[in-house]
Amino acid sequence: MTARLSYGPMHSDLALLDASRVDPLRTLALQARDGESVAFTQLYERTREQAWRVLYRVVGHSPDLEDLLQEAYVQLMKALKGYRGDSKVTTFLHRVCVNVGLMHLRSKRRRPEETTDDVPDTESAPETSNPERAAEVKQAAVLVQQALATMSDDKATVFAYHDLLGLKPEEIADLVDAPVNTVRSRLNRARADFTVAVSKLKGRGP
Amino acid sequence: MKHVSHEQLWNYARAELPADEVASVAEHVDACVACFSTLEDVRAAQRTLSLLPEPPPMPAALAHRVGSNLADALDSRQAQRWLSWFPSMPRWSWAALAVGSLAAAAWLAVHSPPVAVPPPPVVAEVVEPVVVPPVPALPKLTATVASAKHARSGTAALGKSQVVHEGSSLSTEKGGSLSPPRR
Repeated sequence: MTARLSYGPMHSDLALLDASRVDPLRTLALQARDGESVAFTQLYERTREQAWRVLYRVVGHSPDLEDLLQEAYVQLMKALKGYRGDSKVTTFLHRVCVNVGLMHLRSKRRRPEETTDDVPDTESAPETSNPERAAEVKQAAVLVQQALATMSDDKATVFAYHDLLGLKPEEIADLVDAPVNTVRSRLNRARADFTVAVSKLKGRGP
Repeated sequence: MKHVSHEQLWNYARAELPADEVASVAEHVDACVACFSTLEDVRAAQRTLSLLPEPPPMPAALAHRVGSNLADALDSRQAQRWLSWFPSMPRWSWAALAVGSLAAAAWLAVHSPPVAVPPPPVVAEVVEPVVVPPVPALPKLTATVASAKHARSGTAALGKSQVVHEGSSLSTEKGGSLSPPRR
């Protein structure tokens, strides 16, 4: 537990030191923050699969995934400057990846002519034997991405955390720095917006 | 008639509604066209979400490429960190550095002990060995002194001008004497 002590910076640093002993990722993040490139490389090696899964959940199968993953770690590199070791690195990484993914969906919505979804990418394509099922899955992914792009920033973020990544409201509260009840009410409004957006995109809505 | 909230419809469609609420929601939806329609939309949205595939494992080649690019970015970032230190210095700091350097040089010039001028280095004369060319062998002159008496008088003159070297002996046909030239 990384309780903030009110005795002064020394006690606070000791608390963080204890926390870094528990979490090796935290130690690596603190070392990377202080300019150790080897630590950042190790951090990437240990967290890349997680980051990949988060990005894939948000943006779906896309040839832009490689660029987005790289962008996420560049953002992480910058964000680590302000990292004090008082939050989990995976929390930090989730936040960065979701932000990068949602930004990508919004920029795609603003510039639909630049979409790259039709570009075949066999390297990371999911394997399916049923073409109908594959088309249905692809259509669902496009719908989710388009619906997310129409939602406001805070609602889309909470929705992505809960319904795409499966995080609990308590975990989301830590990520968005808001009370749990605020997260729950925001999630309900986000689901309503998502339902309306999907309905419209399917041509069923008003 | 009060409609069912979206939250209740979402949980009802997922069978996550508390048991004591299920009957009342079901009853309302059966009677309310608007809520029934919304419930259909909720089910469509949930089905869309359920169709999303599980992320496949990250391709190894992609992971390697991103790792290499990040390593390059880290290298250039560290290089920029060094380079950025210089432009970040304000102009006055450069001026202060120059004035400080000049002041230090002046102080050193005033306070440093006089430097003894070392004597010029003695250049040892290099005596090159003189190669004496071999003296060409002179033509051997033969002299026949008629008599020792004439030779000692030294009054006789040579008939022809001849170079007489020391140790040479010379004679004339007429019996003149000779003596080696004195230097």
